[in-house]
Amino acid sequence: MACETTIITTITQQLPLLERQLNDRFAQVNSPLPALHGLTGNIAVSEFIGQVLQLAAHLPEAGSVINLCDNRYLFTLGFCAALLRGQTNLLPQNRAPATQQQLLDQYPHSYVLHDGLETLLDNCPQLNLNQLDLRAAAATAIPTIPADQLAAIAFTSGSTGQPKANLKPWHTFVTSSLMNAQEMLGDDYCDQLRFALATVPAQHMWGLETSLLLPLFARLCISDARPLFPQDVANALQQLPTPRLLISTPVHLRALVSSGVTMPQAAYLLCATAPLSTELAQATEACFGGELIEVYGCSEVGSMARRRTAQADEWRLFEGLEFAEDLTLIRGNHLPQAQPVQDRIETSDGRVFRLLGRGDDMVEIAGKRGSLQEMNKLLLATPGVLDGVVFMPEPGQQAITRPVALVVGKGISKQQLSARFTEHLDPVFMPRPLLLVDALPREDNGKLPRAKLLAFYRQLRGH
Amino acid sequence: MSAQTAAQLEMAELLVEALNLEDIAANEIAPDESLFGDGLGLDSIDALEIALAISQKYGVQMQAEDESTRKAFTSLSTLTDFVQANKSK
Repeated sequence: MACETTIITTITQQLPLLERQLNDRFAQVNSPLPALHGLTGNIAVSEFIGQVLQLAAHLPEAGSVINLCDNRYLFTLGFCAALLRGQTNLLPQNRAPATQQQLLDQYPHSYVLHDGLETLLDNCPQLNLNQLDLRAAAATAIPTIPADQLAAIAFTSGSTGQPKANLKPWHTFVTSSLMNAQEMLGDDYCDQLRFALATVPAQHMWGLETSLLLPLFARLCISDARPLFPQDVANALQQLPTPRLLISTPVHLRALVSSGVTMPQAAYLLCATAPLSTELAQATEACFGGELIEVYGCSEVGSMARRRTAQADEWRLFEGLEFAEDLTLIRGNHLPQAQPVQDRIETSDGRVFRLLGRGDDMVEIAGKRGSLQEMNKLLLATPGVLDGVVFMPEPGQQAITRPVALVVGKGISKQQLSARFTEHLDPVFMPRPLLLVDALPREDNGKLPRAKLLAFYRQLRGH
Repeated sequence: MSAQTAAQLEMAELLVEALNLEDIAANEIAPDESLFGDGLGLDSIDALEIALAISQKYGVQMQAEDESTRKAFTSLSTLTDFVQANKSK
């Protein structure tokens, strides 16, 4: 396989920290950061590297660093400085003190890097970037990193509920970022300077791939802002020159589109982490006057495929990846080994495909087969449904385990929801119970791990 | 528990509706109870929902970067005051 030869050649190599022109614009800092003495505005690639070198000299001796910086620019500085010091960035799913303790126990030679974290664990080894002076002379050369150095461990929800460690050597990020640049931005990713804003945190894979790694390998100038409310997004976009790129999620896009706030133009939009409906994709394109690319991926592989959801249902696999013959595995130049595909795939040519639902998606009731993904699609496309999920609960004492629907609605009754399902579904697949809830127990990145969902459902039922 | 004003009750109704707090009635939300963290236990996605409902009902846009918005999300009482003060502008 092609991927094996690639690994052999990269394993002894040094790879660059970034591939950009030194005088190009790298970031736009809007918040007055103490570490930069309140300097705001544009930061050139050379200035960024100078600050990375300065920070690298301040980092303590350690094997790994729990990078919990909130500000995107400081997170990026910390991430890259750790790389230069041969330290692995540990990227947990949340910032809770218990999570910090767990990681410190698991990785004893580590410390917390932060920028004034309110939930900092008491008496832990830590470094606060706000207390450093990171102003530095612009660099004149691009540092290199050993290709096989473990750059990061991204923790994701495992199917058992225990966080799963995804190991990311530096060559993986370099190869996948160049692929992502080509696929998400197009042929002109080295030529066209785009000004990017992300509503997602940099710690999670989608935010990491787009708001941290893409600017290292494509002509992106990234804003340090992470706006929450629609007016914040509008203001933050307004502060960026054109052409703009907005990196977001379906949850955020829905709020932006329905807020009534006039959005500045964004020629390019990227969305991932949960399925986006055609309607929302079309409304988003109209709202921003730009082209929205939805990206499909998973933590093990990263971004894998894209589609312009407003116009197409089918996904196109990124160049550099390929499905194994039975479509249950995926191989890629940046993957040390083939990885399982989380969803069932239908494809005629191996490149353009449809998602048929999760591997564990098929429901068989009374001899009939149904797809949870189709039920979820139906639910989410129902007017008045803000969020919702249809899933299979743990088998109980009943002869038949039926799907359960948890719905966050607005002005829609259980009766109306039942009517909607009855209209479109075989009666055996009617979710029961169908419960209206305040919110689903989603994680910060919008994901809904099965273990959390089941625990939430048990709690709802009072046992 | 202090009684709700008419404006606070109206805001409480908006919260209950926007967040679908089925198990709590609007007149049960204490004016000074914290909305996030220990109190009602709301999170940033809820904040997004509340902001959306407020913009649609009162035409007031919340902004996280604005200190007064952060303070507004403290309790029902502060949120009501914030919206009353800003909608009249």
